[in-house]
Order: sequence, then structure tokens, then C-alpha cells
Amino acid sequence: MTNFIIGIAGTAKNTGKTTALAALLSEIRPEPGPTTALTSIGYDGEHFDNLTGLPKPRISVVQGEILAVAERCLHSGDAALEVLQKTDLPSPLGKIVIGRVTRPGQIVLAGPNKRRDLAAIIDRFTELGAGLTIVDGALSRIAPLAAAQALLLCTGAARHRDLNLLAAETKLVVEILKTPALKERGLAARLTSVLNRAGFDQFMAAVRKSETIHLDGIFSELYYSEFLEQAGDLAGRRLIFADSVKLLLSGDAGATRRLIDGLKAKGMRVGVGAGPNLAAVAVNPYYPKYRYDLKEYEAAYVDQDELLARLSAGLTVPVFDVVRQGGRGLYEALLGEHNITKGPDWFSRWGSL
Amino acid sequence: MPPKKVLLAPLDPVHDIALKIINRGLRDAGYETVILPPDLPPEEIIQAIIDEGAETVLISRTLGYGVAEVLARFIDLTDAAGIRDRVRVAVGGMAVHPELAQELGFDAGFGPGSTVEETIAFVDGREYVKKFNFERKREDDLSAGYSYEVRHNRIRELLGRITPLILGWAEGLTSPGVQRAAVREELWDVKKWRDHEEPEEFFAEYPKYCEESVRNFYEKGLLHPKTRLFSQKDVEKLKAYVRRSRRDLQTPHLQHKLIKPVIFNQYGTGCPYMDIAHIKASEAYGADGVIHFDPSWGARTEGLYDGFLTHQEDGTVITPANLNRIYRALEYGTLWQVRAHRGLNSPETVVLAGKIGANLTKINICYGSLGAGTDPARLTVDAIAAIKYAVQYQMPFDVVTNEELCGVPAHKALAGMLIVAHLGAALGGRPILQPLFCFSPEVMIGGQMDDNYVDFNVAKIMALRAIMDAPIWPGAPIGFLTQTEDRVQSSASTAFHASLAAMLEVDAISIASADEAYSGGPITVASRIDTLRAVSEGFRFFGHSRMQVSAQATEWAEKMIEGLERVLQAVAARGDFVQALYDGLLGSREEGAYPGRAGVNTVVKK
Repeated sequence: MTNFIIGIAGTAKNTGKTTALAALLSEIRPEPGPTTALTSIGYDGEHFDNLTGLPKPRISVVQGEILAVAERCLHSGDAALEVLQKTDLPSPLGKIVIGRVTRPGQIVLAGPNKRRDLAAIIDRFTELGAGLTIVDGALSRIAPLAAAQALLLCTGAARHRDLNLLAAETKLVVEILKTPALKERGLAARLTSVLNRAGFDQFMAAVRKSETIHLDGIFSELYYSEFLEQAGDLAGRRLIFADSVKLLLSGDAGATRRLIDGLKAKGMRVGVGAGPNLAAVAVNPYYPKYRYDLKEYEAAYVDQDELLARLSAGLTVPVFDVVRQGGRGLYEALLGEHNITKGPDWFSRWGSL
Repeated sequence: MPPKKVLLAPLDPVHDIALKIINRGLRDAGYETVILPPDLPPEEIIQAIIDEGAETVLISRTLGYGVAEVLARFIDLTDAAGIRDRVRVAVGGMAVHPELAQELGFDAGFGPGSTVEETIAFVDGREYVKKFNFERKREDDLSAGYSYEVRHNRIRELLGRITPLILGWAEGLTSPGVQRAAVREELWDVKKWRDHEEPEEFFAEYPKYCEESVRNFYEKGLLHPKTRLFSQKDVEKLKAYVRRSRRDLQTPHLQHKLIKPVIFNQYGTGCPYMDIAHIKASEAYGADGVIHFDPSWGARTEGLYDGFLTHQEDGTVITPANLNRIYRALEYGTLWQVRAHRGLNSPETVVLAGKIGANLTKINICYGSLGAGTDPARLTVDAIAAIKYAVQYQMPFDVVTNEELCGVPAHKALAGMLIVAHLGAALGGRPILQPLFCFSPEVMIGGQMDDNYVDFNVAKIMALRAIMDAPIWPGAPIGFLTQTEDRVQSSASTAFHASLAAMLEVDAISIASADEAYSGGPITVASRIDTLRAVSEGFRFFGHSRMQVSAQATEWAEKMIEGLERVLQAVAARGDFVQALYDGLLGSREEGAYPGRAGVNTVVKK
């Protein structure tokens, strides 16, 4: 059976990942369908934020759902779990345990926090019959979510209160995550990452000799300018990142966009090998405002209508404010016509880009 | 196998002190380390991890809002660069804790209070098992290694004469206290009691030896005034509180690099629930042991109550259930002393403490007789029985000189202490000398502490060491009467006394909460923590440094020994230790010592 993986990523802390998860689950749960599995690469569902001390949305789970949580989270709320497997995967909060919810309620969700461990957990979920896995993200971390087939990007005022800046950045991030897949052509070279001078020199040597460069890791923004300066005619050359997430992580989204445009002007195409499909964006007007007089944070909000309008403009993916609009739109965007009731064919839709 | 390679990198513009400390610890432990300078971009750190082939990476950063994103991006970059799966990465910083490390994507997080050992355990990939000092302390017998040899020839000869006088006098005598202890010993089985098996025989026999108020409890269910039974709801809350406290409890080593003195903290708020909170705070702030303080009326009452009782006065009522609840709340290794020293229930208290699991008790004759209101004859008979039970239950016991607080001069109080200690050792016991280590009326009047609190206290320790090879545990509490209602002053004064005691290499000290004398009600945990923190800072400040003993201290020690010898000569010449107590040889009415009346005429022939 196919297990369809949804990842919920954020551009910063407090951009509404857990709220979006709850909205999505509220749409999924009433539908008959395969078992849903949940986990998080961070620490979600806690009463109060680890950094700001402000209240956080809680995570509710229902009977039959499969969870992967660190041992110390097993009794973190009133939900009860039947432990199905104790893994050897470590975390700062103990080994990761897989369990099935036997009593609905709230729980702190903290699971495998790195890519390899997440992949292992998803395999276990599949073995246990999960047809849909949702992975909640953490802060702005996105690397482990490269394992997802459909990606929801959460952003909002917690990232930038300046809505012009937020809209511009979101557009760039979406474009980078939607970078098209590219196939190898001609003589190809494979490199790991460009992180320092030696790595850059090695990269440039490869560029001169090869038609296609496969980059398994990242290309540090520190060398974007030099690349553009040193590269002569790049006509017909291809630079293929392993996935769009690595391209996004290479540097500031604006600088990366300029690099891609600059290379295009010199005749080089930049693409990705695989990666998650960015299916929707969710926006959150909330941000934690620091009160210097009180030396503590308080909850604050930007204008919701303006936020939604600004971010929706010019994006190639649908944008939602789940607090006001509910989770239906997200559900449609992420699962669409290939939803749970109509058959387990999500992978064929999202698996190839 | 080559040592594991560890890369340490401050992901911070300037701060790298903690990493340097850890680096030194790792190198001392045989690890190969690479430490990077501050302010490198994440990409360079990642390249260094690749180039160095490091297996473990330790990142430090002072956290604030937004900095979490920096750390999260660093982890994402290690993932995207393909090294995250082969290196283990930990983060350290002032605001780091395991939940945050999880959220940021690290394998571990080290916050304030983390140790180099903890980091090494992470590098080794093994679970860190916190070294509970208590593992050592459980085996700590404060009396171990002492011979109780009397080093001073003339004093040895005098004590050798006095001890048989006491035992001869007590031969064939008993008291209601001794009889209750025998009933408790024979008819009260702690295991059955813990299994909720009612000791019917005990309940039938025990009240016969109690005074009316206690009999009324057993026969009519009447409680002592100002006491009440805990409800089942209270008990459940207490259990939950203990569970929660245990889960997060850490137990620092208060003494810094010193082994001694073992630190005891007094409790006795009246309420066992509050006592347990004080005990948990004491444990969390490094106390090695705790002392159960009973109410003063308990010392003047023939018989012990039963049930889980709280009490709206100073001192926590001694009952099996109260002691048992407190015992069960102790962390493994916390030393527990139950005082039995001054009143009408001494032998039975020792039996009960021994059966429930106390490590130490407190037995005394002179202070209880001269300063705490118990008849000298009664307390002598009871103390002998109490010492024998202490031997049976393998509990060392301290012998105090708190009659000094009534005005008895040090040399007389020390003479009384040595008589009881010598008697205890002769009966096979392990007595611990507990001289007063504070500001007594004698020095207030005599001016010995007008300049400093040091010399006179040093003189007492020097005198005792010159006389007997025995453990010394100044108290009780140290610094008493130097403390005021000002918590800072009180904590500082306690810390100075503790540091002096440490320099004198005594075996243990008793400290009180900073507000003990002035709380006007139950002492507060905050004050207790103030005192423990201050004492800890004192030990940290002085470490193993030692003081120069002054000529004045030496002179006073010599005078104390001379005076003490004269007192022992007088007691021996009287030929009757109990009569010597009545007659004021070990502290007179003029000095402020009054032979007690509680239990008078209760000593009978067996």
C-alpha cells in the first residue's frame, strides 16, 4: 500500500504550522480512508513556546492514528497510546517510539528530528498500514521535509512584519521550491557541496569540463558572485541540485533567484532532480512582540485581510488563512481529487515532478 | 581504536569560553579535538567538519529570539550538505534545554548546569547517568575510621571511672520510655505495618505505658491540639508532588572539590508535606542529609501518636506514618537523622527510626537534662537504652552541647558531651561529637567573640581533637545567634561558619534555613535555598585553602581542656553522674542550666 507523505514547513517559528496541521486533520478525520500517521521533526503541541513563553496551539489526536514520538512525550498529554514499536532512533528526549492512539486527547509531538531517522520512521508507518503520513516541521527547518511528496509552506508575520518584504520573499521561496525537474544531458560530473574556496575551485573546474553538474549538497551563497563573474559562456550547461530544498538552503532566496537568472542569461539551466511538490501556502498574522519594558513577549497581529491579499498576489500555488477559512482549501490543495475516499493514488500524482 | 574526533565551534560572534572548558575536559579524557574560532559562517564550520572527519560536533550559541533560526539553519545545512547522518551534533548555551535541542534538530542540548562529564557521555554515545553524590553518601558512615581512643591520659582515666559509675547506677532501673521502646521493638513489625496489617497486640499493650493524652488517642481517637490527620486527597497530592519533584531533581555536589563536611539541613515545619518540600529543595541544592525536628511538646509527652499527622507549630510530630512518608520521599542516598535526644521518648524514637530506615539518630543526656527540661535520672536511664538500640540498628548518633545556649560554659558542656560519648562507645555505639559552633551566651558575656567568630570555635575543635579520636559534626545549627532577620546576612554568616568548618576538616555540619530564627512561622524554601547557595559559594571560594590557627585559639583550647578536666575530676569525685547533673557540676543554675522536671520520679526498678 502507498503511504502518501505531507510535510508542513515554516519560514520561521510561530508561522502557524501546528494550526495548519490541526485544520488539515479536521478535514481528513471525517473521511473514511486509510490510517493516518503523524510525527514532527521538532517539538509541537507544548503548552508554551520554548523561546517566547507564549501559549502555543495544542495537538489533538484521535483513536487509531499512529504516532512517532520521543519516549518523554508518551505521557505528555491526556491522549493514551498503545506502544507498537520501540525504535533505537535517538533524540534529545529519548528513543523514538511508535504507538497507536487508544484514547483521544492532546499530546506533545516530538519525533525523529533528522532526515535519515524520519525516513526510517516513515518506512515503519508504511509497514503498519499508514496510507497518509503528515510530518510537522520545526522553526524554519526544511531539510528533513525533502522526504515529503507534498509540501505545505507556512509563513506570516512571525517571519516579517513588513508585508511587502514578506510577500516578496514568499514569492521567491515558492519559485525556488517549484524549480522544475531537469534531466542530465551530455558529459556529467557529480559534486557534493560548495562550501569553501577549494570546493568552489573544484566546482568551476567541473563546470568548464562538463555539460551537466550534479550537486548533491548545497552551493554556498558566499560564492554566488564569483560564480557569475568567473563563468563565461555557459550555453547548454545544466546545474542540477538533488532537490529543491537544497537549492533553497544554499542561500538567501533573493540571492539565489538572482543567481538562477544570471546563469540563465549565460545559457545555463538550473533544475532539480526530485523533491517535494509545494502544494499550498498558509499565512498567519500572529507574531510574538517583544516588550522591552516588561522583558517578555506578548501576542500581536498584522492585518489579516491585507496579509492574505498581498501574499496571494502573483503566487502559483493557492494561499490560505486557515484560522479564518478552515482546512478545506488546504485539504483540496494537498490531497485534491486523489483524496482518501477515492483511492490510494496520491503518489502517482505527486511522486514525479 | 583511535580516539573519537570532536569538533567544537562557537556559532556566535564572540562567546566561546564554555567550549574552551569542554575542549580541555575532552582532551584530558583522551579525545582528539578541533576547536574553531568564533564568528565563522556556518558553511565554513560544515566544511571543517568534512575536512577534519569529525564524528561529533559541539556547537555553542547564546540564544535569543531569531537566533533559533540561525541554529536551525545550521542543522539544515549539515543535512543538505549530506553530513548530518554521519555526525552527531549537540548545542550548548544558556537557554538551551533538551526540548529546544529537539526542536532545533540537534541530537542533544546542554544548558546551564551541564557538566563536562555529560558532554563526554554524549561524545561516547552512551546515556549519561548522573553521578549522584548520594551513591557515595549512602555508604558514608560519619563515624568510620575513628577509634574513640581517648588521647589525653588524665581525661582517659577520668572517663574510664565515670562510665562504669553511670552503668552501675542504671543497673536494674527502667522507665515508661524504656518499656514503650521494648513494646515497639517486640510487637510492632514494620514490614507487616507497611503491608497494612494492623498490629493488634501492639495497640493492646502500648497505651498502658503512655500518659493520658496519648492513651486518649489510642482509645478514643482524640488528637493532640493543633494536629490533624491528612485526608486521602492530601496523600494523593503528596504522592504526585514527590513523583514530579523526583522527575526533575538534580543533586549538585555542594562541597565543590571537598569531600567533607557532609551537609545536613534541618527540617521540622510541623507539616510532613511541607517537610518533604523542604527536603526536596535541600536535595536539589546539594544537602547530603536532613534532620527530623520533633515538636518540643513531643519531648515532654509520654508516648508517641500514630497516623499521618500535620501540626500547626514548630517541629513535626513523630509517628510511624509521618516518618515513613518522609523516608519514602528521600532520594536514594540522602542521609536521614531522626532526633531522639532530649525527652521522654528517646529509646522508642531510636527503635522507630531504626525500623523505618533512618541512618542516624541523636542521643544526649546533659543537654536534655540541663537545657531541655527532662529529669536527669530519667534521661540517663532512657539514654542508655537508646544507645543500645542505636547499636542494634547500626545508627551512629551525635551528642550535642546545646546547653551552651542556656549559658553553660563550653568546657562544662564539652565535659558532658565527652562523658556521654565515652559511655556510648563503651556500649558499642558510634557517637559523633557535636559541639556548638556559634555565638553562645558564654562568649556574649565573656567577649571571646568580640573580634571574630573564628578563634573560639576553632578552640573547641582543637580541644576535642586533642582529647578523643572521634568524628566531629559542629552544629546545631552552625552560626546560630549570629543570624538575623536579614536573609542575606544570615546566609552569609552561615556560609562563613560552614567554610570555617570545612577548613577545620570536620566530618559534617548542620545548617538551618536563613529565616529559621525569625520566620515567625514555618520557614520558607526560598530562605533554605539562599543558605545552601551561600554555603556552596563559600566552599567554592575557599576550596582547599587552609587557615592559620591563631595563638589565641590555641590558648583557649588549652584552657578548655584544663577546665574540662577539672569538671570530670569533680564528677568522678562525686561518684554519681546523675547527682552531678542535679548538683550543677556540668552546668549550674547560676549559669543558666536547670535540671528538668519532665519524667521526674518515673524511674523504677525493673
